[in-house]
Amino acid sequence: MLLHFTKDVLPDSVSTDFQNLNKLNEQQFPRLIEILFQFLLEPKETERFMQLLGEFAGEHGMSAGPLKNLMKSVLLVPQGALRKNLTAEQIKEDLVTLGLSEDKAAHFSQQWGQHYAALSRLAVGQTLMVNQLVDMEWKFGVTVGTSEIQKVGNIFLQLKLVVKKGISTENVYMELTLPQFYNFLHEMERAKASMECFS
Amino acid sequence: MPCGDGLHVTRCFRVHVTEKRNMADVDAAKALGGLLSGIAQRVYHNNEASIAAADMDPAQLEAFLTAQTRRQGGGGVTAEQAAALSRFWKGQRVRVRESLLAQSRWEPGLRGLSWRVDLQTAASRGGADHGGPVALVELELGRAGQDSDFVCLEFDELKVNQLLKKMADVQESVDRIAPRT
Repeated sequence: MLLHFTKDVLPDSVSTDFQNLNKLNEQQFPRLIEILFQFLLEPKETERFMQLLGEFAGEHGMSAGPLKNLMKSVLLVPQGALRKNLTAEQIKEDLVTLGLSEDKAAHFSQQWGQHYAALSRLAVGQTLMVNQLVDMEWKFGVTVGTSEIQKVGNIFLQLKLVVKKGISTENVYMELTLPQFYNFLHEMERAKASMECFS
Repeated sequence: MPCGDGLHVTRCFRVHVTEKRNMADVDAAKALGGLLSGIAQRVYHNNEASIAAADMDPAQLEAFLTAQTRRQGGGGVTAEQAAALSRFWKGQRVRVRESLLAQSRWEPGLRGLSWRVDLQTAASRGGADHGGPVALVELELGRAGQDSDFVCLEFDELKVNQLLKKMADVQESVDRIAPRT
C-alpha cells in the first residue's frame, strides 16, 4: 500500500477501521469529521474529544470503545499529513487507498483544505526537526536578594536540556522564573493526561 | 550592609529615610517621592553591566509613611499622599526589579510552549495496535530584543514520566528553599 502520509507499514486494523467508516450515513459522517477537526484545531482538548466521541456513540447506538479506537486510526492520516505538508488531493488519495469511499474521502479532503491554514499555524514540529530529550540538568540562580520575603520572587531556575539532534547531542540552556516553571510543569502534566487518553 | 548574592547583580544599597521633625509633611513626602523617582528612572534606564539597585524595605517605607500620617492626626491630604506614595513605590519597585532581572539574565528565557499528542503508525512500538502516543513539545526560547529559537522535542510515555519525575525533584528543591504558604 503506497501512502503519502506515512512510510510505515500499517496494521490491518487501520484498513478495517476506514472501511467501517463507510457505514456511517450522510449525517453521521460529516458530524464525526467535524468532531475530528475540532480536536485537530485544539489538540490539547483531548478530554473534550473523548467526551464528544462518547456522546456521538450514544446518539447513534454505537459502542464508545470501538469508536474511539476507530478514531485513533483516522487520526493517523491528518497527523501524518501535517508533518509532511500534504495537499487536500494527496489526503484524498490516501483515504481512498485505505478503503474510504470516494464521496467520504472528498468530504474529508474538502474539510482539510478549509482548515489547512489554521492547522499549519498550530502544527507543532511541522517545520522543525523533532529531537529527543536525553537528559535534563538544573540549578537555581538567585538575584538581588534583599530580604527573606523576596526569596521566591528572586529565584531563577536554570535548565540545561541535553537534546539528541540526529546523531549528535546539543545542550539547550534556558532560564525560567518560578511561575514559568510551574506553567511548564502544568503543560507537561496536561500532555501526559492527553497521552493517557490515547493509550 | 552588603546584600544580594554573588551570582548576578554586583551592588545594591538601601535608602534610609529618617524622619525630620522640622520638615513639613508635604515637603518630606515630595522629597521622598522625588528621590525615589529619580533613582527608579536611573536604574530603569541604565544599560550598563554594573547596576546599582535602590531598595527600600517595605517595612521601613510603611513605618515612615505611618509616622508622617500620624503627625497630622490622620489628616486627609497626608494620608492620601502616603497611600499614593506607597502605591507608586510598590509599582516602581517591581519595574526596577524586573529591569534588573532582565538585564542580569545569562540564558534565554522560555517565551512560549506548545504541544500536541500524535499517534504512532508503527505497530512495532509497544505492541499495541497503533503503537504508543507521542507528545510533541515545542519550546520557544529567546533573550530580550532577540528573535526566538524553537526547539521541538518528542516524548513517548516513558520519557514524559521521566521528565515529570525530574520536575518533581525541582519542585521539591524549590519547596525546601522557599516553602509555599
